[in-house]
Amino acid sequence: MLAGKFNRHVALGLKGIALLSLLLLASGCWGQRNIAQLTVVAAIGLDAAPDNQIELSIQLVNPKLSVAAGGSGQRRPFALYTAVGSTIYEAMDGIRKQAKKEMFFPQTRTIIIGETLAKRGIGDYMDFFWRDMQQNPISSVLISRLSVRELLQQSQELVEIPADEWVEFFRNRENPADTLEMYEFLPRLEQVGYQAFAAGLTPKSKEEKEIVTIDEVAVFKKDKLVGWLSEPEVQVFEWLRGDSKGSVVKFSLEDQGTKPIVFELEMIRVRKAPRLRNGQIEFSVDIHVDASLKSSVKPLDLSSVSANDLLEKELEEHIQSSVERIIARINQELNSDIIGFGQRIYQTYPHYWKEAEPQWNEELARMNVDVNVTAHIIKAGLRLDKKYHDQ
Amino acid sequence: MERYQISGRQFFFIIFAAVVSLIIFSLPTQLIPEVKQDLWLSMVIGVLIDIYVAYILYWLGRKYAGQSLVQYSRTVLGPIGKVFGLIFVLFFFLVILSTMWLFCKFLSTALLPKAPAMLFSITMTLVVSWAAYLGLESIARMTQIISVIILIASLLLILFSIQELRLDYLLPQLENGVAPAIKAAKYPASWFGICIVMGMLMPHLINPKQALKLKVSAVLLGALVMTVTFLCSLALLGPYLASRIDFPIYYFSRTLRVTFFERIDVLMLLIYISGAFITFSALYFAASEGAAQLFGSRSHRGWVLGSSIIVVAVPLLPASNNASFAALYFDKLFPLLGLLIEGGFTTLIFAVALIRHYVERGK
Repeated sequence: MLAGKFNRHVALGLKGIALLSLLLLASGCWGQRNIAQLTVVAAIGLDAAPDNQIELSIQLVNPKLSVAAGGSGQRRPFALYTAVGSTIYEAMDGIRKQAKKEMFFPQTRTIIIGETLAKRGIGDYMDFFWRDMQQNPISSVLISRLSVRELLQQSQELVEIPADEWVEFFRNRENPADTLEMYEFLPRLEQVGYQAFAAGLTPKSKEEKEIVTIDEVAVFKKDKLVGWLSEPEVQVFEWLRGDSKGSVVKFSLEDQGTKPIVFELEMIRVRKAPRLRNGQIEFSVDIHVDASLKSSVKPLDLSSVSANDLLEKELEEHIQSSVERIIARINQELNSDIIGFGQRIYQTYPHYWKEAEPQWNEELARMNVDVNVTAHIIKAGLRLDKKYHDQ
Repeated sequence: MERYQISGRQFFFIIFAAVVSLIIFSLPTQLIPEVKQDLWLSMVIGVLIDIYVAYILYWLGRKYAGQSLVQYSRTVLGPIGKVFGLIFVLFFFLVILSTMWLFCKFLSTALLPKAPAMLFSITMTLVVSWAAYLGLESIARMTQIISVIILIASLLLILFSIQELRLDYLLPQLENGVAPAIKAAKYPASWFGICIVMGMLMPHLINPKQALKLKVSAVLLGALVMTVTFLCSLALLGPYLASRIDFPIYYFSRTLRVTFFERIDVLMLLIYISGAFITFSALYFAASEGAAQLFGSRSHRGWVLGSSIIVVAVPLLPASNNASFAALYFDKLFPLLGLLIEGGFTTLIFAVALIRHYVERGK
């Protein structure tokens, strides 16, 4: 009796599994679409044009069959169209006439904005990305120092579609650079308490070849680009965002010569806590770092407590001074709240924030930020840092 | 009248699907701009109101065993009860029309922008009226499969978003006190209230004693899944974006990425469309059976066929392309009407039935 009931359940379960597996057949090829009918947009570029207009560039992937499937492998991997208009929508119309095919937006990899346009302000154009449901909210936003059209046309990357390569770069956990995706970028352009930034594409000439590097970060104040963070600054800025992918710190000890000691930061925890004191807002930024030693100098005996303490103290001081420097640069010099202090205030003191929000930028420059760093060296690699007994 | 029999589990899943699916896109669009991080409180209040209504319907359903909401409003209130019955039936019908309109609007803006809205109302009405035509038992059997898929899909969606969440976006809690959250509770309360469909299903339940327990646990589970999904979308998009974009939950699902899979929004559409199917068919059945009981027809089937013509034409109704009317209707009129009928009318019937109960006892 009991066994019969059990068997019935098993049979029912098997039937269910069999039925569900039919779903796999129903879908055909994963994400199948007739690619001959569609042109997938890889990148959207926005740049300044004369008379307060914008130049829109659209890079379309040229669908190509692999050689094995009968394709020739001879066609250009992408097509680039540009058009000028006073709004994105208007320029898009011009591009439609050139491209003729239906453009498919939901897979757009990047939105690239030219530096000149970003300096002029992009607020008026972003409405298009708010409204159009077909736009990809997880496309990465990049700022190009070169004109966008040249960049898209000339860049030489390993992968045929440069946009693919750039996006992969950000997804890779080893790379220090980071950028915002569209859904993060759009609201931050309009907020004072948490402003936008985007990674920059900088052309560098090397042996007569243009190489595009991604190492700088463009800082926005409202919808205008106000300045750049250089490569070492970007690294410290990433620490403040609680991100440490591939972060390397090096410094040399005073009495140990010029050879640097190199650490890799494995884990960073950042706590930004606002304090309201006598109607004045203050921040204390507590940073907790786990670091691993990558290369040391000989005379240091890491197994001794004192040497370890010394190294940790040096590391803390090094991180603290660079963080203090970057906060001063961002808050006072660039005067844009890309770190998100205002947002923290809103979360902790919503009533104070309501009063502070209209003149937040002035207050940001005046605000006192207290940085405390604690560092722990957790790994020192394979080498045994012991004095040998036979010596 | 045909007698259908549904099991407790089937009843549970019908209510669960009704809570979760149909409003998963429309409710946050109303709720998030008004209360942002405090939406959980509005949801809790909405659930409490709904549990109160569930208790009333349970008491009435037990007292007048074998009778539906439409039938016992006649038994309790006499001839005026017929008017109440008519209002309930019309209300079910209104809910079908409103949600069908939302369904068409969502799919024609988000999924297939080029397709005419009629396409969605025609295909949906076709399958829904077929299900309702076949009766409650067929609906209930399908619900058992579909609701499990809905539950799994929504859990997956929450799971996929966990690593991207920024919980500090959920602060500050109750920045303007509890008043806004209480005021906004009218949205979840009025939408959850469509579960008065319970009053129509209860006579078909094999064991009506379980009705209250099943109904309350289904609403709790459904509201929990929804609240967590809403909070996840807030914690991913941030309150600024979430309160300024139409269909924040759909946008949320489009920002998710699981290793190399993008476009997880398919899961969201799976929940929405399959759940909408269940809820539409349950409502459709309730409305047409109510109408049949009211007018003494032998079967509900004729009413299904008759009303489907109007439902198909929803996108063509004169008011449906008027954006300001739609905003007024969904933000002001519908919550008011919903609360009045779901909370007010049921309470009235309950009060009269209670008085009768004690008068009869006193004799």
